[in-house]
Amino acid sequence: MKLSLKPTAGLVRATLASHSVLGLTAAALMYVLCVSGTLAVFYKELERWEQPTVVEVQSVSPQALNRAAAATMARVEEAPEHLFFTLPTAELPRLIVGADEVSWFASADGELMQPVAHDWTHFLIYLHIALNLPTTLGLTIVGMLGAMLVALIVSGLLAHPNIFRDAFSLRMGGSERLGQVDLHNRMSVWGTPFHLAIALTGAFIGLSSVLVYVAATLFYQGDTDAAGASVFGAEPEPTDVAAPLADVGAAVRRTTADHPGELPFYVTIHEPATTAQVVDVGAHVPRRVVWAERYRYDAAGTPMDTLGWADGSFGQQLYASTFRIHFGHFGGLPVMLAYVLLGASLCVVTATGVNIWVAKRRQRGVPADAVERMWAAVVWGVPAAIALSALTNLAAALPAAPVFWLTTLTLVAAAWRLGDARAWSRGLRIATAILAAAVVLAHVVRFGGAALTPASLIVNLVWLVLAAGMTLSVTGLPVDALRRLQPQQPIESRRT
Amino acid sequence: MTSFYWQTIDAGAALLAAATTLAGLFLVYHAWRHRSRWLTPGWVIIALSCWPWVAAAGADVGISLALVVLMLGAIAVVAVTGQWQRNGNPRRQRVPLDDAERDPSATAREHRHRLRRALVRLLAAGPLSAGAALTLVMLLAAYAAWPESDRLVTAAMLAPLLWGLGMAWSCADSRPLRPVAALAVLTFLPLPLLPLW
Repeated sequence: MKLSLKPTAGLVRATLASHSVLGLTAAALMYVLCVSGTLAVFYKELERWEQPTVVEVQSVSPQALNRAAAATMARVEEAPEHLFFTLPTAELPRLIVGADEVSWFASADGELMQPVAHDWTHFLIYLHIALNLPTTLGLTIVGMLGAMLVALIVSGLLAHPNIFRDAFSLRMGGSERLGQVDLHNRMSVWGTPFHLAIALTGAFIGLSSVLVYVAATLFYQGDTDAAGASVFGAEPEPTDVAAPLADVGAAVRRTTADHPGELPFYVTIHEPATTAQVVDVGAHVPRRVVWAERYRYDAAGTPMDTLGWADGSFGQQLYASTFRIHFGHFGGLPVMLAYVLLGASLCVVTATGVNIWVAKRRQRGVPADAVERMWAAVVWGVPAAIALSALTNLAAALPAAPVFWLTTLTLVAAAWRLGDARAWSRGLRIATAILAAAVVLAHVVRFGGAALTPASLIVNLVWLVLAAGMTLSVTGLPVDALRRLQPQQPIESRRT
Repeated sequence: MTSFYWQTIDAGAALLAAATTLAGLFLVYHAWRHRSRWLTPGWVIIALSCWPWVAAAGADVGISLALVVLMLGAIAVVAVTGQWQRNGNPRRQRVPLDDAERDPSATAREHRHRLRRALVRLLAAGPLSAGAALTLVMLLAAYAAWPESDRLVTAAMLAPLLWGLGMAWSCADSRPLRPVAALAVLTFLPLPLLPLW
């Protein structure tokens, strides 16, 4: 008996059918997640870009932290459950102090300045993590899409028996369908580790609230705080008995002294100015992808315990590693740029997946013209709608989520009946190029020289690269350049 | 101010590691292009490049960086070596119609049949796959002899994986009732073992 690991033709056919069904079901929403996620890699830079005139600070003294904490408590009307501090780092050189839902920037002396207001970045992040729906519902739907992406990766690999034979072949000069198939398969196979990591961590983050709820119902008498305590740490029991505000500066100073090499970047005071208050300091850990290690102190800054995200149980470390793996925040700008390229490749995989189905229908003589037009409106309309939402938010303070969704849905509805797919594709690429360039122009007009500060410059360059990319894609210049790099005779295909 | 993570990476070791990963990738490409015997050595070198990556940036950051460089390197090779020249006028290959597309009376029958199958698949891929995944991971969370945080996080991480596998199976099986039955059993049969009642 011959033992073979190669899938049978029947299995390949079945998994290919499964791959098509799953992909077509979720393609549009998955594409929105891919595009928004690719841009959201730069969320810290986007926050700085939205408020470029904020005074940036490189470091902050413990005394200034205590002043900022006291000023925040004096400013809020109701006693908050938490005070939050974002400490200055290279990526976000700003001191931010918040009380529950509101937050302000603070100077290096701890004086409160303007409120934090990066509504557009907030829109983009919530588009990615919850499709701008109510948080729990949106997170759950996005988690489901993550599970579907896992299914697509598995079925895609099983449906690809010639994975090595085709490993590097990209035949863009032949039929349109063959080019789309090659592009889809090469990007997806070589990007598998990234796609799987993004799918699993995204689904994990998205479904965690549902899973915590189920675990709490089954094992903790419905107490969701107790269900998460072994992973996230426990919240202190409120006492509502007033006490002097915790010495947050002492806690940060102690973290720096006791853990040299680590970099504190956030602080939380739970139940501030009560006898229940405790201070959590989160610190970057060198050479680790964990979000942070979290050290807990009492009100005087005396160490109480360490949560163990960096050196605790396997589960704690796994949980703490999901976020940086998902957002690509573990190696500075080079890794972020790599994530943008890999995220863009996932956008291409999603777009070409539906293109292949459309091309196959056309070859069979049963074209799906309406689907083809609507898909072109999604693929090129989503970046256009994101750029339009940024422009209208920047220029007229219009809320970004309604602008994005109304634009996208209007485009798709119009494409259902009007035009042809090529015209939609071309028109929306030109529109995206114009809108992206207009975003930069609006930013410069509104903020003047502040539009050229380092973080603003990075984001404005990304918009300009997007504008240039869209323009070049309409002219076909990149493909022409690649053609010029090659000999006149086409490289012989390995598949004959 | 340089990024904290960038400061903690040994640049020399990282360059060596990247060069090793890309050298391994080149051998894999060479083996593919010229049908040479460098495939296994190529993959071995790629695997060995994890060592300088770990030295450069620690185990978890280092291996993540190795994968990022490998993926981007391979996609770059595909783009640069791809066949971009127009290959004359491509022949438009006609794919034969299936019965449903050829015969209008068959179309209605086939559509009804397909709709029924699609609904069954939807039931299996959606609620039943999710239910089975949830039941299995909650069993793990309840009974695995691990610390509490390990049980909970492993269960939460496995849930989307199992759900995804269930979805893939539900949509691929030529007999859609088979995954329905199996997933229903996996969803409901172990429920008495959970501390629900």
